[in-house]
Amino acid sequence: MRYRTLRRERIMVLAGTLVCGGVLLASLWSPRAVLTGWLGGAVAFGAVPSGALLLMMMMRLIPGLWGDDLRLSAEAATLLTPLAAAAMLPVLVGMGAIYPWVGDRSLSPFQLIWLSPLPFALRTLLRFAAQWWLGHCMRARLRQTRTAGAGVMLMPMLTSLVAVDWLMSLDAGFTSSAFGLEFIQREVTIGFCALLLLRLNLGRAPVRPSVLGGLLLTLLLLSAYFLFLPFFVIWSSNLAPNVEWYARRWDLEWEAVAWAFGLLGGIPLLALLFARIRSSLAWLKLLSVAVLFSTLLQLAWVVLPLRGATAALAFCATLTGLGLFGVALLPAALRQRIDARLPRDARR
Amino acid sequence: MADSGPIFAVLAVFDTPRRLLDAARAIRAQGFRNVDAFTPFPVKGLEQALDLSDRRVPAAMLIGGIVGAASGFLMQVGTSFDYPLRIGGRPLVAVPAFMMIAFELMVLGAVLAALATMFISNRLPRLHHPVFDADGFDLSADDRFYLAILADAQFDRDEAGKALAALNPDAIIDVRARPRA
Repeated sequence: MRYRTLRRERIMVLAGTLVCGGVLLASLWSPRAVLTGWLGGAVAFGAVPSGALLLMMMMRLIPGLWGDDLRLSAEAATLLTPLAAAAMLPVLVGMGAIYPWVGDRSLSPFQLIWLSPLPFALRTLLRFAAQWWLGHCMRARLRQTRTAGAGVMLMPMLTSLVAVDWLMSLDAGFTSSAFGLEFIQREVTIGFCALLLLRLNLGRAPVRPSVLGGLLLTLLLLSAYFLFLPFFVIWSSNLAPNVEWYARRWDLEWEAVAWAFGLLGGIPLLALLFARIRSSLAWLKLLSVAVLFSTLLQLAWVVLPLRGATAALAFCATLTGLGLFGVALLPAALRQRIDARLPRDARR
Repeated sequence: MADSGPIFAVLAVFDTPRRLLDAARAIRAQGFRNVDAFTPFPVKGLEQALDLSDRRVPAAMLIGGIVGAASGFLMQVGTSFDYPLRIGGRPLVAVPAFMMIAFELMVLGAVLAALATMFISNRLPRLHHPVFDADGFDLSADDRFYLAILADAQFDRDEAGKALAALNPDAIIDVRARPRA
């Protein structure tokens, strides 16, 4: 597989490498905070290929104009899977600094087995291996319906497992049965916004933008559902460890973050109720940027509390570094997919 | 077919949706405003060609949704003040708990408002319509496409007939309203 990159894309990759290298160097100075920030950034970056794969499999099972408009962009995004897996390596190496359960002998016997470095690494590896294999089969367009059917059952299960490992276990006392689904919804939203921006910025305009606007609206409604319902259940049951998880996000800074992601998601949700906005390319571009930022802030709100300002800084730097990789490599991957779909003698 | 009584509309019959669309655009361009169409299936672009921009149903849904949500919320507030039950130190007006019922009643209000507005806008239930009397109109549910210029205060039968004839339809049919018994 060859990626043809343009000069500006190579410069962005170089800049991304420098920023990511800087963050990893800083992790030697303050491993707990910096690696937690890196974890948040890596999860956000990994959401692009993972969300794109889920969408691509759904496109096969529920065909329509949305699939025609986003298929190649989704295929391109799944090519970033190896990079997303590589971005999780610092987390695996530095898990002792990130997770409070490493070396904690007071956990229950099941937690001691489940939350130990080797099973953690194996589950992460299994998830990325399945993601790459499913993406490869879908891109090759062989037995797609069967692959997509199996994939939409397998990926949510594996993603739920890593959601618990990567993020929920940052607080070993917190439990939420909706956490995995909430994680998947966030991944799909980030992936969809990235695909939409890629699609709206490159090539011809989508055939029916209103369909894509409708999908964005659906994802925002799902997001509101998954933000509210676990809170409501925990608020009703009043279970101490879970209430504490929310209480830690109730100080001035995190409340401001919650307001910010609420407004960045809520205003687009209301705007997308209007058909004229749903079918406007300029509005869709603007709203998908707002929703992307809203979802990234949600992720920060889940990952970073109690880890200090350094973690927040590391999160922003990691997002910038890995984001530069994404902005540079997604168009190159799209060109690769377009070439792959051309007749053999027409390929460049 | 009623062959007496005031004229209700002049119908032109076409054999393809493309011809109907072209005809609708041409008739609208000639200044006819009271135009309708009858087709066996939804024809893409016909809504725009006939300039149908009735937004009453979405507007009614919005109002119904707001009224439903507000009444659902206020109903719970009223009930809590009438029968105060203090649970787990939570306030009487416990907003998170009230959201579910408010949401459900928002959906109910929006759906009922939409249904009612749709029925009223279409004047339903209606067991008869003058175009049902037109010869062969049952083909509008099969493979024929009908364009109608409806009679209004400025309606001129000859002018409407000539405008439709210029579009080379398969047939032109006068539709008369049944005289009231």
